[in-house]
Amino acid sequence: MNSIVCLDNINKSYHSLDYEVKVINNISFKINNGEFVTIVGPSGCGKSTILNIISGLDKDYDGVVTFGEDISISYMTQEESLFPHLSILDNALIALKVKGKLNNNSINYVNGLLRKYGLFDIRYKKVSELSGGQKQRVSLVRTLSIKPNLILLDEAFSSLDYVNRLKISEDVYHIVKEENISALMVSHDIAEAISMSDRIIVLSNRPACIKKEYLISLGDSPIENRNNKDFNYYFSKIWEDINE
Amino acid sequence: MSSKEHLLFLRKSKRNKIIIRSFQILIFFLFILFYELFGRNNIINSFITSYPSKIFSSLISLFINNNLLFHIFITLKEVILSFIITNIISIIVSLILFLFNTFDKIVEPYLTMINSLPKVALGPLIIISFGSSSSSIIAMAVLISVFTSIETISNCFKNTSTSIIKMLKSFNASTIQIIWYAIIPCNYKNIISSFKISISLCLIGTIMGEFLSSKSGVGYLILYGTQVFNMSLVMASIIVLLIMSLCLYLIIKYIEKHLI
Ligand SMILES: Nc1ncnc2c1ncn2[C@@H]1O[C@H](COP(=O)(O)OP(=O)(O)OP(=O)(O)O)[C@@H](O)[C@H]1O
Ligand SMILES: [Mg+2]
Repeated sequence: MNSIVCLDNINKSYHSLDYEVKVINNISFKINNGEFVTIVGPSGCGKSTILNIISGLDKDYDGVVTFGEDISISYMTQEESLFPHLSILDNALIALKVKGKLNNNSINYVNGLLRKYGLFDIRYKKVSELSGGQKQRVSLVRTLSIKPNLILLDEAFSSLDYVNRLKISEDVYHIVKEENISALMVSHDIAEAISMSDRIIVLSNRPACIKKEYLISLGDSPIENRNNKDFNYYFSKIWEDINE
Repeated sequence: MSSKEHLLFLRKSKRNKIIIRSFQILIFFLFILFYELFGRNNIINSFITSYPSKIFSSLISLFINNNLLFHIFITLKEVILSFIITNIISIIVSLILFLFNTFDKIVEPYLTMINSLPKVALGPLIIISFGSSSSSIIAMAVLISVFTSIETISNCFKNTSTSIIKMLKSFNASTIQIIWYAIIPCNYKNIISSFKISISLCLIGTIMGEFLSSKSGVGYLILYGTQVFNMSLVMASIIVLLIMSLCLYLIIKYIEKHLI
């Protein structure tokens, strides 16, 4: 299987005048085409930093990152990054605009996504008037709008209520699988990670290194996976790793 | 459908509004009334301050005999030109400061220094270099307003949401796109409020410029009135100035409300 991104011996420190923090310690891993990988690890260990490096936002690191052919990355960052003065629709279309890919097809695709996430009827509403969960769904639509082949999701569902969280994770899972997208997700929710992923990478405390990796083989529905007989096995293993 | 409470709330806020407006109007008329009474009965020195009816008749005669509209037009032209120049310069400089961090750090102390300098002090220099013409008045107004404008606009550019800029960069947005999609529109409100400050600074600068050197304009009328001890003329010109600044402010407010 070809890999879409490959990290080789990545090291990273943050510098300031009076201190230096090593955040990433010799991390190497790759993500195969169509694979769904989730990173879990303690808060502040360096998960977002890894996504920043892969997305190309952070170029100040040691090591090599290589990409597969025709890479197109879409990054849903941990912080909210919507334009408050624009409507839902305009926010959802901004990535297409920036990439010069705005046309009837892409607009239809975005409208379809908005409909799916219950945003279509309020698409002209200003983002500043939305709830946290609605905002997160707009960000998700924007992330998917450019039909990337690698998506980076940093706590993408954290503001959603439980029911929507399950529904949307189910949905994102199917989009990823059906469109043959690869995904790298960061999540604090171990159950969510197990239910959605093909593989889970457990990171240590700062400076992050890879502590364990789990290949997960459950069914192909995150919601049903939670009832799979092997689910608890993975859960207790990863729980132990994190709380060691 | 509004609930009873909502209707009550609406009625209450409407009543409040009426009370505020009526007091504002009342104060205005009381002011005019007492001004007139005190002036006519020499309770205040009417030679210096004049009084409303005299000011009004002097306004009329200014309009008829001294070509008031022409002077207003001259001053307005200078204010608007200097306003446009000021804001084009400020936005361009602010963008440069935003994009080139090191440059920003280098010039920062100089900008602060110039900003605190009373720019009128440079008046004579300007007249020597631009000559005694409209352009030296515009230069004066620009000089007075531009540094404040740069400071406000560049400060708000620097406070543009970093997460939005990060998002745009993650989609490989170019610098131009970041400016076009984020820097300018996210700061739209701040830019307009800086316009409100700079329009009044431009008016101040223009009048100062006209004091220093001019043959026309409202500032010239004030200066001329003082020289010939025609205080009604001075007061009338000041009133004209007041109305002008109010109109300019309202125009910007209108733009703020309707142009987006
Ligand atoms: N710009 C920065 N300058 C200095 N230190 C930073 C910077 N950004 C992050 N750090 C530090 O690096 C470490 C890793 O940060 P990172 O955001 O990658 O953590 P994280 O694993 O995503 O945490 P969380 O789960 O809470 O989001 C943290 O300890 C943080 O304090
Ligand atoms: Mg993080």
